[in-house]
Amino acid sequence: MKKRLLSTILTGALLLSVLAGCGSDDGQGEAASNGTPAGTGTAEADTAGVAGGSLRPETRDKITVILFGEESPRMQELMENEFQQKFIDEINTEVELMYLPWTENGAGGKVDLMIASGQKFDACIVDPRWAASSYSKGYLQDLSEVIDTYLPDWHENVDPTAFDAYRYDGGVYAIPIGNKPTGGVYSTVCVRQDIMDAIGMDKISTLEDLTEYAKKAKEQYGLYATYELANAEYIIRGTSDRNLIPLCTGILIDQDTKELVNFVESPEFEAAVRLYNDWYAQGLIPKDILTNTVTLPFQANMSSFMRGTCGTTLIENEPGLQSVVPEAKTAEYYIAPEKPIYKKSYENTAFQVPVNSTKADRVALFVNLLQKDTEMANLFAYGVEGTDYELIDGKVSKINTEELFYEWMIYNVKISSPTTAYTDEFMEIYKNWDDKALPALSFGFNIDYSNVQTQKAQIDSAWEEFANPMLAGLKDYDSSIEELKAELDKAGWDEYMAEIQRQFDEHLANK
Amino acid sequence: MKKTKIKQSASDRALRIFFYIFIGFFAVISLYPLLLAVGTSFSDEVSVTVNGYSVIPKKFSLEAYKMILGSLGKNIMNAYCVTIAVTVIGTLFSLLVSSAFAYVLTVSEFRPRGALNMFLYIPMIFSAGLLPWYIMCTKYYNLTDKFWALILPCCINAFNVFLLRNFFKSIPEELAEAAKIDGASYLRIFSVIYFPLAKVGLVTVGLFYALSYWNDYYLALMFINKQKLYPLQYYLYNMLANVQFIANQANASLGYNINIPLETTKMATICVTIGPIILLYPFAQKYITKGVIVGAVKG
Repeated sequence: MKKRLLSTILTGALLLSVLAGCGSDDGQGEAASNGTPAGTGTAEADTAGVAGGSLRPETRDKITVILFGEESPRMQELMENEFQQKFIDEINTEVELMYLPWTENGAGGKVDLMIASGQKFDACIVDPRWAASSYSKGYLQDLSEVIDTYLPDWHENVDPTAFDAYRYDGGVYAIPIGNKPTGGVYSTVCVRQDIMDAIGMDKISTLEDLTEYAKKAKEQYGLYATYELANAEYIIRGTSDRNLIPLCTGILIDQDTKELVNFVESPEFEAAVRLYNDWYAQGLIPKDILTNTVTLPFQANMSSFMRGTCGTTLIENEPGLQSVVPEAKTAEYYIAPEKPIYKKSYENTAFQVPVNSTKADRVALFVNLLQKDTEMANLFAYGVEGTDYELIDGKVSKINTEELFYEWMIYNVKISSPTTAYTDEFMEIYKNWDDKALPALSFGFNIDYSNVQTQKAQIDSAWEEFANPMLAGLKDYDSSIEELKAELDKAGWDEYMAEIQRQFDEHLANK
Repeated sequence: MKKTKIKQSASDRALRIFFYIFIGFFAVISLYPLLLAVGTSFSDEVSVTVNGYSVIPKKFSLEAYKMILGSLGKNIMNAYCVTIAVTVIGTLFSLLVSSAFAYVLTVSEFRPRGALNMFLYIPMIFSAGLLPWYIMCTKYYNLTDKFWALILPCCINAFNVFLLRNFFKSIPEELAEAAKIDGASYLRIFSVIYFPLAKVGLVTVGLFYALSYWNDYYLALMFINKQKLYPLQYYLYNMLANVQFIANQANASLGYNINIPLETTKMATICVTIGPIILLYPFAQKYITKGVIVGAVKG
């Protein structure tokens, strides 16, 4: 009798839990696979009847935005008070932030899983590579209509070319945010200016100059040359007259002839490897170049140069370096300064809207607000003036150091105030950094590897095993080049190259 | 009465000394990585970058601990509480469910036990994959942002159930039969006879469960978005991923001119997370070896 009663109760409990589980769908019923972009329709309905050209919707709504990292205590506070109030006042929208670890930033992470399983959210930051992958899976919503209507201030402050990185088949699939100079990024070499002064060098414009500098830095300061490999852009830049920009593993683009170049078979590869062979023989290259995982060896005073990042190395590298060597100064030089400078990307960060969100209009308004003007850009990046930061001569002096909305995401050279760490001279150079830059052919080109997945994996593996030791100078060019070519061929180089060539031709045809 | 000692030969003594030295040496080798982690966590980041890891810090610094426990100390304490709650409740719940399941599998009169066995075996070999599991947990069980999301999806482990089943099988069946003759129900036999007699196995399996709950961050990664429900491991995993991102950030901003103690933070993270669980080991150690061996050999 007892058994019967117990089993009846258990069955009842199980049945109830199943019913409860199935019953509370929580509005998550729409699967991503329906593939219907739903945002624009609601957008029109919401703002219809708004007078005076204001885009503020009449009805209150809520959007969920995914960011990565960790919400700082101050950010939590601001999102409950000042920031939230500003969102309601300006765009009549409540914004809920959801934070995921940075490890989930990219294809195949939790965000993809959420879209595939139909879990609701309205926006998430994305980069061009990830967007290309998500677009191919049908996860992204076409935002062509909303960007025309809901980004009035954005269009004033951001270069619309930034959309190119997110255009596929005539549609636009993410809204870029921020505006920073990127011309010639990684094409410069960042060196120790204090060492240059001490050894009597006033410029570095050739690989011979760089070699001389590296040798003297080693002799007089005991520093290795670099922990970067010979395929660094500033090295390739100095190896020939061609204007080559790296595209992907083993492939470069000749910016003049518009051809893809097989790096391994190019004279530039030979010159770069021979240079590193020579440096290695002279003891300029550290023996642990391929195995040492030190994140920032230049800043740790272990090497005498590294790649430059369009002027900002002065800001990014010097403070760290000066904590080890207080008198250290840095400077960036172009190897072959007569060659053109290329801008390979505009903004790498954008907001994607998943295909099952119905609030693309609100997301566009949200991004627009973050880039509206100096007041808004400063508010969301630095916080409340007087509480979180002070303005001193137009520059931001932080009182609160906790992260709010990412500064690197919001920073817009046209509207954002720089911090007091940046001198006027620096800002003058920085603002005009892109003036002479030409758009690179690869801009907006995202490779879809799905047809050559196996080849790509094998080539990456072969590259790591056979090319990297050569590019580190450890393996001699003459005795290793044939083996490398054979391994790449075995890994499926021809199919890989043909597929990328096909996609690149399409890209050029659509430009 | 005077105790008589068995006299050891010189070769026995020599062998014994050799074993002690060898085991002692091995213990030091095993302990060394932990000491290295502790030493590095108290080191200055630059000195670690330049000189590498060391047991005794070359330049003492509390920067990594300041970063972890500083302004985020409150969040860390909250994460500790969540982890402790998940570990305690999860372990008890898992033990209850697993032992009940395991006991049922040993009752010969229970006919569907073959089917139940398969029910347990099949998911060990075949998995439906991540997406169906995720959809099941989020859309049907509605576990998103629920405390139980940190327990339920992993509350039963097939390996542990088999281990417990073997423990129960090692208990003489006559005991259960005698109890049955005296009128005891299955629930009573399980709770009064089997449960106490399988103490060794329960402690072993309990420790396995406790460890898996303590170390788990994946369930939080999948189902938890609210920071107040972050368990410790996930909180620190998130923080470390964040630090790594900032440190690798090139040309990203006009704001990140700060030095992130990356290597030392990693080590400090290890020290903060292993603390309490490492204390469990000495108490449970005597049961572990015995438990695993008995559970493993009985078919």
